[in-house]
Amino acid sequence: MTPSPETWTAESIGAAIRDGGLHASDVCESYLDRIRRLDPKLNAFVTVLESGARMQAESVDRDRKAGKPLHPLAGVPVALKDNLCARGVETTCSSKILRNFIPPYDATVIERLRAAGSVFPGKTNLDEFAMGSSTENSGLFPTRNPHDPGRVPGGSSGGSAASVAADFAPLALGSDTGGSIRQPASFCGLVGLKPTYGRVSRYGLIAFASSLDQIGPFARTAMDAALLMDAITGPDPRDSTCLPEPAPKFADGLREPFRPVRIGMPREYFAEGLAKPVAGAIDRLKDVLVSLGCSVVDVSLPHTPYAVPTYYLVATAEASSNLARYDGVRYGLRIDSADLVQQYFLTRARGFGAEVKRRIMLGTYALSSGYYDAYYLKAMKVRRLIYNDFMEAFRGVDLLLTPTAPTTAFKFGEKVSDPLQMYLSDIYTISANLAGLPAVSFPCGFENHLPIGAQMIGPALSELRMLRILHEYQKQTDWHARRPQNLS
Amino acid sequence: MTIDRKTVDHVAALARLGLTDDEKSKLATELSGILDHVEMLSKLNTDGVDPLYHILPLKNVFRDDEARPSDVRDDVLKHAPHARPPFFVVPNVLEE
Amino acid sequence: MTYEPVIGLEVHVQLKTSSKLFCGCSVQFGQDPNRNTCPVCMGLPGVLPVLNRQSVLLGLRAAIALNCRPAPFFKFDRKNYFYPDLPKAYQISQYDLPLALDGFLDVSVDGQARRVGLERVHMEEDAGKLVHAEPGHGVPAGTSFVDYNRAGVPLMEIVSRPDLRSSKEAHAYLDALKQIMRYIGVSDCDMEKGSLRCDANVSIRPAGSSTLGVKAELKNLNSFKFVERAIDGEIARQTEILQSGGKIVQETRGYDSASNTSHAQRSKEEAHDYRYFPEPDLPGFSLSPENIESVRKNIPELPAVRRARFLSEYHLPDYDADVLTAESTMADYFESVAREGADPKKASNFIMAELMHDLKSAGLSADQSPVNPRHLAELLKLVADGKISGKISKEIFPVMFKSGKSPAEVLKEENMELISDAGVIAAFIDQAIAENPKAVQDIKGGKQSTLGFLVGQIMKKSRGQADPALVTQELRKKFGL
Repeated sequence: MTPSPETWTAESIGAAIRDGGLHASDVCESYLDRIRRLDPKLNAFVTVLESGARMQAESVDRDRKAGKPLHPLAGVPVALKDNLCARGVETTCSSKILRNFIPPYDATVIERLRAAGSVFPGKTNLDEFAMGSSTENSGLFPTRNPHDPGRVPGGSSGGSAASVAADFAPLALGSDTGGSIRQPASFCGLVGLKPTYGRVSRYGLIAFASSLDQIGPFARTAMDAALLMDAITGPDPRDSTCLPEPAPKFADGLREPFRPVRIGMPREYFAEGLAKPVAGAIDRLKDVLVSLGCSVVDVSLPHTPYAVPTYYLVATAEASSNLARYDGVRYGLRIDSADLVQQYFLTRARGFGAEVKRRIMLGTYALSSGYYDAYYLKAMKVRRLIYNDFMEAFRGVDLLLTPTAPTTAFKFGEKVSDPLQMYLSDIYTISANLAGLPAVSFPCGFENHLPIGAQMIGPALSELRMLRILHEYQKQTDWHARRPQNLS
Repeated sequence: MTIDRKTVDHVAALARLGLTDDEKSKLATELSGILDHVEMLSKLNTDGVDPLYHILPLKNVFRDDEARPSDVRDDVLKHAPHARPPFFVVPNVLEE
Repeated sequence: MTYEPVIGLEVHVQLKTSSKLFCGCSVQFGQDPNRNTCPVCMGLPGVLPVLNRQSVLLGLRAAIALNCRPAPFFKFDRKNYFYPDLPKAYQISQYDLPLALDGFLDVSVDGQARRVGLERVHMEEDAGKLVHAEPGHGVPAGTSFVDYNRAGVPLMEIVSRPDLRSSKEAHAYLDALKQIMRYIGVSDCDMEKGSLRCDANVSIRPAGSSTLGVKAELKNLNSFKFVERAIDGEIARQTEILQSGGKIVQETRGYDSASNTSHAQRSKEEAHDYRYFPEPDLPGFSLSPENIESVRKNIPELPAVRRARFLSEYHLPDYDADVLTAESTMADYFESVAREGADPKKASNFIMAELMHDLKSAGLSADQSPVNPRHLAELLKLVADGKISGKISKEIFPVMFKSGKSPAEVLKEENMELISDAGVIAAFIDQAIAENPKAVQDIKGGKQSTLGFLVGQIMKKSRGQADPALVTQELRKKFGL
């Protein structure tokens, strides 16, 4: 194989390294070289781990030489969202408050990827503490969309999405609390999967909203996403909310014969606010699925309009508690004062950005004395109704097909002024988090040079079923193979 | 629901968030707007609906009572903003 | 007007586990600061709690022993507040669905039985410790050191109903609670090591009234004695206020044992808004009736039951039963000695007079006694059989205690075996007769009581080793009595 990241997939790199066609070190250098040349234009990475990546790659080459069996992801670079703790590597959450925080431990997903022999080219940028949809809320700098540097890559996992779209790595990990994997995957033309809540251990993922957060893969192909899922899923005794059942073999499952499924299109997701080109692309996607033998019907998720307010109460309430530990006592930023209480106020004032402060305020208010029942408890009840909608829909169909976002990638500054409008643009993605369901975004067309994303939402633990359909779809189409134009 | 400055002050104190006057005024407006939107929930009848605290069918997740030494102390102290090993150091709460 | 005090206690006991409530760190006391810490209990970003199974079993055992109703479903909640000893800025505790509800504890005050209602029993994690820095350690004045060794240590909070009416009752309640917790192995309840802490809610009301007065919460009560003193002080303070026409304000008051006074603790308005909400990192817990039954079955006999049994089964006096059943280890020890065939009352006497003294000096509990119960039974049997005197038994006991050897071994090593050789005894008798002509005279003159004096002389000469029965018998023969 030629050393050219723009033609590689994780699957092909792994296979070539195993059969000797490629050295992991050469793969690593090719990607590092590309990062050096092009990342200054995009700012996908918060930290590039050049020497660490080289050491990991060399170790794979030594293992190969010694005849040791290699994992399918051995030598395959995986970019890591910078809210995943990696031992000895500064982990910032793109927040000033975590400057100089060096975790003394590995997140479970990182531990597993290390064991598989994956190579970590760097930690990627995000909206501060994963709160945002564009990386404009990063406390460090924004990331640019490789398809159009004047536009956002989406968020919060914008850095991870940009890094795969720009071929800085064939794979990346993100986290998804209300769409933070799927929406940037949509904006950057990638496959982005949010697994079932509990499918992937959250140990080592810096919490935003504990009952909604899940770690998941970015990839170009269903097969690459499956390979990464194989490496990161499975029970973890360090996370009480991680499911004890073993995960299926995803990559093997994609090689099984395809069986058509019944697909539902929730009408509430195709109402006003959806951009025409997006609706058109999904219509053409539907035709492809029908041609593959799938049936498509209308369904209803009647509580959809309540999802945004429900989400913003649940997520901010949990966040207000999760982010209370950043007090300048044990790690991260501290603004000194002779008075402890003042030190808290100063540290948190200086360390957190505007969006984080806004959400901490909203969440604190929703939990505060006298308001708990009206806000937090009410939201938890509506959450049940939203969940029940899905259970009802899945009595008649196997999967739901929806847009991922109302539009393609927007321009910098377009939405930052009005937080409520920004929140409302998460409308298609947040329900899956509230219901704990797996959902995957994937490219299904382009508007001019910008990718359009579609989303499948499935019942709990149906990731394999969704990836299997996606795999079949990607055999019929080539949207996933389109690289950003003019990026060199 | 309107959030006034006094409420912003109270909530900021609960959350130990230092805010400038500008930030406070802005937050009062923004939070009021968000809560107006949230208001739609109150119109939804949820009588007899169980709050969904945990999405998972999981219960009784335990670990065994085994003590395992951890060796992260010195590492954490090394990167702490202010430490005097083996302690972390903080200012006292000043009496007003 | 006379006032009636109304008192409720909130007691925290440390559950006797090896590891912390939500992580694998050791709970060993007295470790180097911050040694017992890991990413989880230091609240580093990204970590998650996993509940210690043993803490639930211990909590449940305590709840059942305290006659509480175990919850069919319980969960954990976050209690949010900022303090440097609280690493996550929230404490994982239990709010509306605790481990158990509605129990009672029977206590005895001046021989009178009192039943104290219990509101709830719940589990929570402890916080760390702030140590005020001495100046001159290279740190500015007015700073504190933080030690997280205790952060995450499993605690159980037992909340009583306001059923107590005097400081004495409060003290009796604490004694009874501590005794039960220690009996069933739930907690050491050692206040000095922080494994028992107590806050008291105190109010007063006109005698005969059934409404509750405004309460003050007393904190920083570091011993049972201080609990008693602080409550008395608080009752007096509140009485004085009411009698002078004042009003009680609800507040938290810190007790200062040195001056035996309390003072109101400054609290900001927001300090009590803990914003409890269900802990999303921990799914709920449900206990089946079978789970509860299996814990119930394994609860050892409780102190009151055991005391009653000691009275009926061993026919011990009240005092002995009290002393022996104060600690389960001691009661176990006594029963082992009795099972080995020792006379219960003799065993009780010896244990109370000798063993307890030696254990106390050595700082040991009965289960750590170097003298095993079988050896003590053997020793008592030697006395009962007249093989050694009571005096000898008391002399060799410390040697047994020191060496862990059996009485036979010790007697042999120390050449202290009982002398029952008639020839040797005869020699002692002859010597005594020669040395005590006056006594011999008296006996011959019919003053038989003097025989005892001679026996004593012989025992002295033989360093207590002569068989006293044989000596008496031979002496009588000698004098033709």
